[in-house]
Amino acid sequence: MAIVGRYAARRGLQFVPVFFGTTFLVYFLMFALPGDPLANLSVGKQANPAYLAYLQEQFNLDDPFFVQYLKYLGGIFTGDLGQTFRGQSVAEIFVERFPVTLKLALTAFVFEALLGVGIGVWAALRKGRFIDNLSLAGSLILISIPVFVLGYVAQWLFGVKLGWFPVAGISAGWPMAYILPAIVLAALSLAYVLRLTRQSLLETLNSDFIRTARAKGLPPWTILRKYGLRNSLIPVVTFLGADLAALMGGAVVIEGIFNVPGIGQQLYSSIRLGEAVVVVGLVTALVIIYLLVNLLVDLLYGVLDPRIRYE
Amino acid sequence: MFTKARKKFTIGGVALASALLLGSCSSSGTDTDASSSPSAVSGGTYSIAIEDPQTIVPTDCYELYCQQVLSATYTGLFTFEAGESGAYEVTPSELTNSVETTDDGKNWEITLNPGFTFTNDEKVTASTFVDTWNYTANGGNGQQLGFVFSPSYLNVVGYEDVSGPKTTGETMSGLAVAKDDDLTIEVTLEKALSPEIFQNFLAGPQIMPMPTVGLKDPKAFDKQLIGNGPYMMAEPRTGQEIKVVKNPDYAGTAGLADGVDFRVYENKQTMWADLQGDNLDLIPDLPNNALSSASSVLGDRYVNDPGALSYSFYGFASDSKTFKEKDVRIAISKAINWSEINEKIWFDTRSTATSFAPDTIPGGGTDLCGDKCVFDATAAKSLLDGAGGLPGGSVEIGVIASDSKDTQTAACNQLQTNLGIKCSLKTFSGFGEYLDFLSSGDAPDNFIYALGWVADHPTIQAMITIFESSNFANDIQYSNAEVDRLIAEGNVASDPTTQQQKWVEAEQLILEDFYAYPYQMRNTVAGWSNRIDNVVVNPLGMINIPKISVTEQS
Repeated sequence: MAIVGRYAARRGLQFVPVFFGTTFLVYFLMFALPGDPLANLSVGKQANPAYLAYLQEQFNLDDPFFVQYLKYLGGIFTGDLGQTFRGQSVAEIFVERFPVTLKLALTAFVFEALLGVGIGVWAALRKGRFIDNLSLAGSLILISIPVFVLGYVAQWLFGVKLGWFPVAGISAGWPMAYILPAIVLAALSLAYVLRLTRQSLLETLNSDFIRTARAKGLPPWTILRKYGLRNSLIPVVTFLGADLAALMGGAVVIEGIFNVPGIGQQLYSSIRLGEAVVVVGLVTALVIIYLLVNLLVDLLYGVLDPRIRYE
Repeated sequence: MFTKARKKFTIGGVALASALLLGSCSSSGTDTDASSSPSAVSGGTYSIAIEDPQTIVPTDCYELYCQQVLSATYTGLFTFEAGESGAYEVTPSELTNSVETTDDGKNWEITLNPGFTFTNDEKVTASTFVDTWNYTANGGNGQQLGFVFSPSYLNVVGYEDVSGPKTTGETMSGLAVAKDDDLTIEVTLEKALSPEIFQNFLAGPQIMPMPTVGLKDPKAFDKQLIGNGPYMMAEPRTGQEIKVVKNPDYAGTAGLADGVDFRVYENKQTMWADLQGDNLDLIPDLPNNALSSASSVLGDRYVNDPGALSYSFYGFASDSKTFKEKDVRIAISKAINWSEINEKIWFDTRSTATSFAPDTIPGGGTDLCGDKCVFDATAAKSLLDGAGGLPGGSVEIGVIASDSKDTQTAACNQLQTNLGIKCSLKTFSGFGEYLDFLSSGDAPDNFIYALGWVADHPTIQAMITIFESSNFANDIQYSNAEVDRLIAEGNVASDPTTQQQKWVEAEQLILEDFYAYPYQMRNTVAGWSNRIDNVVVNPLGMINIPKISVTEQS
């Protein structure tokens, strides 16, 4: 256990360079975006010089890039994550919007994991039969359809035409309002998980130790559970772990289509407005979540396969 | 095309049809108006689609979305109402008793009606307005609407003392509460203005009065407004919704519905799906994906009326060698079939322009462009040939990728076909990048400025002020001293007819010079559910929120 703790601490140290790298890179990219952010925001037919001067000063927009970046970092270390041009603090935005995105991502994750692994296992056990072919064809279709097409079609069919789910918005609350966007969000990964599970399980089921177990007369269910799944799930867990974080970052399109007020929506509008501070803050938070989840996945390997050591 | 104004889009027009229909419901001889007609029942709650307002603080709100919310939660000094001619005019609200000039337009007295209070019981008095306006103009507070008091607008005495980022003044000397009457605001201007212009400048964009608590803590105010209007915010806003309910103590005419939900959308296309799914009641500006099918899907719950206070125009830099010959510029105008583009791409939700001011504006609606704005490929070609052809042989049109790319592509193709010249698009990722490019001076000599304009209030002046040589947004650097003089003279003319004449003359001169011409006018394009009735959207895109009734209540 001590080894695991040391391993986790060492991995934790890696967060430091990643944090600086991400903030720097994203800040730089936002800085390099064409167009003066104030032009996006405030310049109308009456450019109000007083208002522009105020914003220039508030957001250090006159400073060169490095000065801006250092001021931003200085703010972070004193607990100030910055604010939007209209004075809403990034911390506040995060607190308000993150739970929404997390709910959406976790719901999608549940669909992805349960359906993906479930159908994958089923297909592997019925290799070459109807359900196997159906799932392979189905997943191929899901992989090939762009997610926004899937989103609009699902919204139109299940929301507008059939009325099974709310068309958009989260006022119906969890789970009703989240089911449709979560399924669409999970669709692509679900297809991958399904194929990965099927393939990996098939390989395992063909290996020698399974044949031995069968020869010893163990019941098929025990073989599948104790030897088959456990050995074939490592690549699937790796994928799922990485994907949980990706689901949160990838919700931009889905949150737009289904009008879910999460992080993705905020990122989209902040990028449009050139609010570097907001984008950097949210992206950095997403990156750190990604790292944490990955660390968790790595630690989970040991549970699935005790042969794996943390060094 | 993009809109040069702060408002990202605008809508407008008048849904006269619904008003007329209601009138005809009353067969008996008694007088009847909308509020007593059978469908005008009170109660119920309906929802309105808006895009995410960056702020809802009244002194900082300069976009349509927050303005819709403020129009429900506040009563300001003025409203815009359709007059007998159908044109919209600035009108004192129920809060305003009188607006008078004590001399020739420099000194003004605005007297309020008593009885109006904020929902925290603070009274709305002259000092409410004076405090709010001083707060707005103060540069240290960074409020967007501060420009209303600046020299290019009202030009209130003492603006310079408070407006700069480093200025220490707290109050403008040109604002005061009358000594003997706490309901009278005294305003002193540097230069005289006509009554129409004075009121329009105060009405659009309108700064709603803020209670003391709001001025002290605008951040808390941005979460939950405290207003003096027919509706009030009963709970803080969320990223998803702004909910308002009827204000039980409102001193003016109460709203019909019990409550209104402003539903926030990041993606406009989703509004249309939500309306069709009976999940949303009103879209004041239908998104592009709705335009082709809206009239067949919605039937009489759809308006598409010309006359919104917004147009798209082509501008030519005044020092361009390519467009030096006026006939070349006219040839470009005549070579593009805008009515076809409006029909095919916009499904007739935009109209071909004949002047800068539509007939929803007092004095507007006359065809001033005449033959120059009429499509005629053959005439265009011979004009161009007569002018010795196009120097350089090619033009470039600026366009924002996400905005009107289809429109400009079509226009470009027509220029190539009908004039035999080369045409290409210069594409920008967004509004900011386009503006940077325009102000950088990097625009090539053969660059056509495709721009848009949204007016703040229904006057011809507001539609053409962009072409005054002093105007910041005058990117083509058009300058005609005569135009400047006529607009300025109109601004002080005390007689409305003379005023409109001056402005129309200025408009005519701009079109005579032809360095800029409007090619497309916006329509009001709104749609609503069968749950609500009496919907009117004005040319500025504002909805008559208190007068909308919910007919089908669950």
